[in-house]
Amino acid sequence: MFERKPLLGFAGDTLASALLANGLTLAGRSFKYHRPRGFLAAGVEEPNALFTLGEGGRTTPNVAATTTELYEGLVARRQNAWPSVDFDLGAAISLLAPLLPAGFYYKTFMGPRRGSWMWYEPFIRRAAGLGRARHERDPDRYETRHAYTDVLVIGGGPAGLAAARAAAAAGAAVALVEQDSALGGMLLAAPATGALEDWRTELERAVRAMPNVEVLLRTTACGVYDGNTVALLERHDHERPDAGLGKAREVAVTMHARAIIYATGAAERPLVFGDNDRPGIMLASAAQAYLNRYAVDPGRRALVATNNDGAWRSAIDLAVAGIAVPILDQRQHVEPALQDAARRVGIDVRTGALVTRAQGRRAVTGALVAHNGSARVEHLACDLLCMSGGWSPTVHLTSHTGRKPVYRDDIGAFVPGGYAPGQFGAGAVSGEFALSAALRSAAEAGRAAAHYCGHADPIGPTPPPQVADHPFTLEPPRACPRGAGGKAFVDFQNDVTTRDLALAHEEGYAAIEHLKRYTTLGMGTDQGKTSNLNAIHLMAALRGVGIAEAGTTTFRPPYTPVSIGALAGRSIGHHFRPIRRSPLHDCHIANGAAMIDAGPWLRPWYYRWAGGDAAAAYVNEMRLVRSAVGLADISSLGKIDVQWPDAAEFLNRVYVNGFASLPAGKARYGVMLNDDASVLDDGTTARFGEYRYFMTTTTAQAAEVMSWLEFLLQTAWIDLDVQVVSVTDEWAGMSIAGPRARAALALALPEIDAADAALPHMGAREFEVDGVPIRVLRLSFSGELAYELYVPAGYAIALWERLLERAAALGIRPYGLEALASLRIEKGHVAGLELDHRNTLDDLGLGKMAARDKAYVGRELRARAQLQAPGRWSLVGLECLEPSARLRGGAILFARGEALAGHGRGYVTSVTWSTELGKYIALGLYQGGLRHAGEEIVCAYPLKNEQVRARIVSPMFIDPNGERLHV
Amino acid sequence: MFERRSPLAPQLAGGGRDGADGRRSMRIGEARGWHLIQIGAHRRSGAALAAAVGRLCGCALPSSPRIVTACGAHRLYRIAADQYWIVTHDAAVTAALARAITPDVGASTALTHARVRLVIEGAAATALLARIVPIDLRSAALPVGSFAQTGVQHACVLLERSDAQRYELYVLRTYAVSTWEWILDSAMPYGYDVHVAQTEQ
Amino acid sequence: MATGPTGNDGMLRIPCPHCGERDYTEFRYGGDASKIRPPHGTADARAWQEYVFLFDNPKGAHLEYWQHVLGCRQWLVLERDTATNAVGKAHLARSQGSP
Ligand SMILES: [Zn+2]
Repeated sequence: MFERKPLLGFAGDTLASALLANGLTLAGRSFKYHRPRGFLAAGVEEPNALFTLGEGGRTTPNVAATTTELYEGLVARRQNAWPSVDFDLGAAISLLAPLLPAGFYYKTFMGPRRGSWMWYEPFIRRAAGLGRARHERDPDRYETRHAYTDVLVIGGGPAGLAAARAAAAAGAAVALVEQDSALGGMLLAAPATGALEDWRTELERAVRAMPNVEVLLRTTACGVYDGNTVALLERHDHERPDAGLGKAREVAVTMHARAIIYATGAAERPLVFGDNDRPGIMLASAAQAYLNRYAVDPGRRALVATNNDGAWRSAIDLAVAGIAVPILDQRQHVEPALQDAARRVGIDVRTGALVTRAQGRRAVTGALVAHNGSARVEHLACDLLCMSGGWSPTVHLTSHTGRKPVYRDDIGAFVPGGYAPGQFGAGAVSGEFALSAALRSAAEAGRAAAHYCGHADPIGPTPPPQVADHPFTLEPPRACPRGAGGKAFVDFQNDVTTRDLALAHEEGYAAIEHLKRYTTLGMGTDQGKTSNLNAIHLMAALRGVGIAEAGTTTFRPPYTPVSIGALAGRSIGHHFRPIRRSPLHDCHIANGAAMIDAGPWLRPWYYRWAGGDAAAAYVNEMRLVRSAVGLADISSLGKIDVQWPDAAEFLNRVYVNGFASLPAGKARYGVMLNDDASVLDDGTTARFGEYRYFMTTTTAQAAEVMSWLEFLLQTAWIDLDVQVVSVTDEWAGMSIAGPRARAALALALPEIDAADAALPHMGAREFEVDGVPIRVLRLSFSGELAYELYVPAGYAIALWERLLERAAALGIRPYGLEALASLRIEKGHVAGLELDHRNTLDDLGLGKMAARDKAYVGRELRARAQLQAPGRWSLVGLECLEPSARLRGGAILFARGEALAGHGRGYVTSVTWSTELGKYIALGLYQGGLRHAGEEIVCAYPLKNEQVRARIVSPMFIDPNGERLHV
Repeated sequence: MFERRSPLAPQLAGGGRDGADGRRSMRIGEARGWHLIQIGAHRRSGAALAAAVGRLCGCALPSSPRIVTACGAHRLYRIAADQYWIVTHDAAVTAALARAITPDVGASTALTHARVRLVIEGAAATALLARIVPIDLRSAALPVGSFAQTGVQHACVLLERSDAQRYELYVLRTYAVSTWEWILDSAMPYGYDVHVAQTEQ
Repeated sequence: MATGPTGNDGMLRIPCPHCGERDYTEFRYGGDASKIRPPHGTADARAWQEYVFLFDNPKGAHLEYWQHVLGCRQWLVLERDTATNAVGKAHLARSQGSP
């Protein structure tokens, strides 16, 4: 379907060829001036014919019709037309053209009044924008995968086929990628019958028959990265993939190749003359492709304008097909054999002839032609104007890893400025435009690439076809004479004309990179594939310098547009990132837990037994722990097995406090610093044997601490014999907390002797229950009597259920993350919100923990004067003084009576309702810390325009002497 | 008695689904009934560790970081220069190793519960894995009987190729459900049956 | 999460001495490996200041720490050219001596 009208085409057609065959030559309106545009090219370089494909969530804007393979059910429409292409209101803008020079948007709308851009912007975007993206979810499936090969050949034209054949014959595994739906490259535009086509068919058959060659069609190499890694985009639109069956529309392939052969060919350039953008003006090679490959007459009366030999082949094919063709070559001297070949098929050959301006508006109707050495301007009628300004090797990928292309005068084009190790060029990309020379370079590249991969079986070159093969010559493009009239476009997609280039030059934006940003030349979906070289030529002429001095732009990935969907692959929805589940996960779901994301973890937030929402539930859960006994999942804590004779010394180095003297059967709370003396993490380490320790870290820093310990042991302290192994996944953890915790343990697990004498505060012991090891650490995060139980993860649910069942009489219930965090605030324990890698030990009120008689990581830099300054923001407790108000995390703290402006004197890190105190309490960081204890301050929360009074108090809100811990 | 649970218990009830062509070209499942112990030598204890393993497992410590040593009921993997995994059916062997590897011999850490062992087997297994791991799966790079430590969705895995079209993945327990869902999603176009093996092979 | 193949962040292939050549996505970067950490207990704050905060920013050959976190978990010392991103040899950090 095309714009709700059915469109007929043939298999192998592109959207562009089918539309041309159906007589549609108006492909859209231009970006800035809304000029009617046709099809300039027949491939990826197309700047004009951008269509919107698909409907609803499948909508893909800005797709070149020239690369869109026609398939049953394709829905396409033209874009950048308001309200439609054929009746274009925006076309009125073309009357205002003199007001729209380069830099127009910014100059006109950015000032003088600030804000005027904001006002105009929607209008400009609507009139000038390209296609529009949609908000609906894309229902199609996209995938990513990795692939490996010896030799990756990019481009399936004659050079790519010959290179693949040579590399494979030498014994290398070869992947040959071709963005088109068929192999053959430029040969596909040759006559459909004849010696050349026979030769192509035979070469394709030979390559496909090789067992070590994998051919990937409809696959574009989008970017080349370090280590010869290449991003490929595989398209499957032609299969109409059904996402419901798991069929992908596009697959982004990360191809790891040992060697790369660039056989990317070359693209023809337009000529720059007045009104060179009229529909019906196209590249000579495109006309040839439409004629030969798609059997579409692109016109009946053609003109071929050129400065090089390449277009003569197109002219001859057009003439043979019965299309009248005068050829206008700007050169005085053209190879006589070429002229004879053209005349033999009835071509009117004119040398020294320069097209200065096209005629016609919605379609080309003729051209004005100047003849060298004569002031006479001739008018020639036509309905198709084929142009060729020479050929630009497709060097983009070769420069992705940082090698700038270099200019070659003899072919008037840039070629790769060398190749990275393991990379090779074959054919036109390296400037070899004649077929026989291209094939020789391809065979050499294939052999060299195979050799680079360690394969060196002998192989002869691919024999060239028995057809006439001329060396390529060209004369540099001549500037269109002044006063010829009309707009001479350099960049069609961005509507950049010769006048814009002159203006950029006058205003000092003469460097190519500046020109690009000033005029937008070379931006957009085609990235200047047809415009870059012409712009460089013109700017070099304006500056009076050579091409090499004028420079070239840097090519960056992607070579052609890549859909966001392909980059995301299947990492969407709940696959966006991996989710870590506690060994108790299924049990939480069964117990009615509301779950919450905590870093990569899914953790129980609160349980429905305690209330219908978090705000109601967590206070009930807190009351349970303070008054009876609760059970919480702490499996997400990092756990590290630390072993061996030097383990004690190791722990003594990484913790600020002493661990050398920790006896077996005891646990100790410890804090680790980074080298710069900021706090890295806190946790406990228990000693279970002479050389065996069990370290826990915070959930958030588990991976960080593990890598840090490994770093120290493997790079700095290699003399220490210590083994560290992460056992986070091996051991499930649960905390049983509350005044009845010991009684609950006695009921549920009588095998465990939890009497105060056997397991005093900070005691750590291993038990075996029913053959299952259980590690019990008597330590508390909540401030209540509490035990941490660790059990091999597979038994976690069984242990959890046993505790809940057997201690049910004591009122035991599970409690979640919200209550866990609130209980620790009441007790004044710091956690992730306070441990933000910026605070020091002293900022957190933990300075006294640091040992004075030993070295520890971070000791020296901790002594820095700035870190000891009395005005540092340090830990305080805050009590809300307004019964009807609440404190909020992130609130900014100000002294009483001070203006509420700027960054204040600190901020609130953690807040909770205190069930014990009957008010909101918080932890925060305040300038000068507890030196201000007792002072009343203001907690400002600008987002809600709240100011709440609070008092600075000790962060230990409950049981400051720890009596509850020692019962 | 405490019942031992697999984190994939609900997932394994899934059954499977047909691929785009109506077929099921893989079996994906969990292998159970094995034990894993990580052992390591320190600088002076390599020979003592090798001797202990020789005595209890009947084989030498593997020298290759890529090739799995299969030895009766045990498989040995050299996971770092001086670190090894021993996977065995025989719980008595891991217990004996844990006892025998005293600090002068080396160190041992039980990891049976820390990993879930997935098996992916069938014609499309290699194509599926190319969608989930970033390593070279060609048979020259990962021959039958070799293994590689790599990542799935940024979580570490040990991948063993136990046959041309059979792979075993040791994944972290807490990521197992996420990894499982990721694998099944990637397997959609090929079709698969879900399968649980109570004991390996 | 899938590796974004067309991301502009490079695509290093790192030769892990234990596991072989792997994608850089399996590794974690660990900073300049040419710096020598003061021995534990060094009381000279200036030495630590130098080690923690002062870095050269060389164009060209560079030695850096990488940890194969998704593989063997070994910290490596890798040669990388900061100008070309070309990767050279790697050796285990714990095996002393230059690569
Ligand atoms: Zn490694």
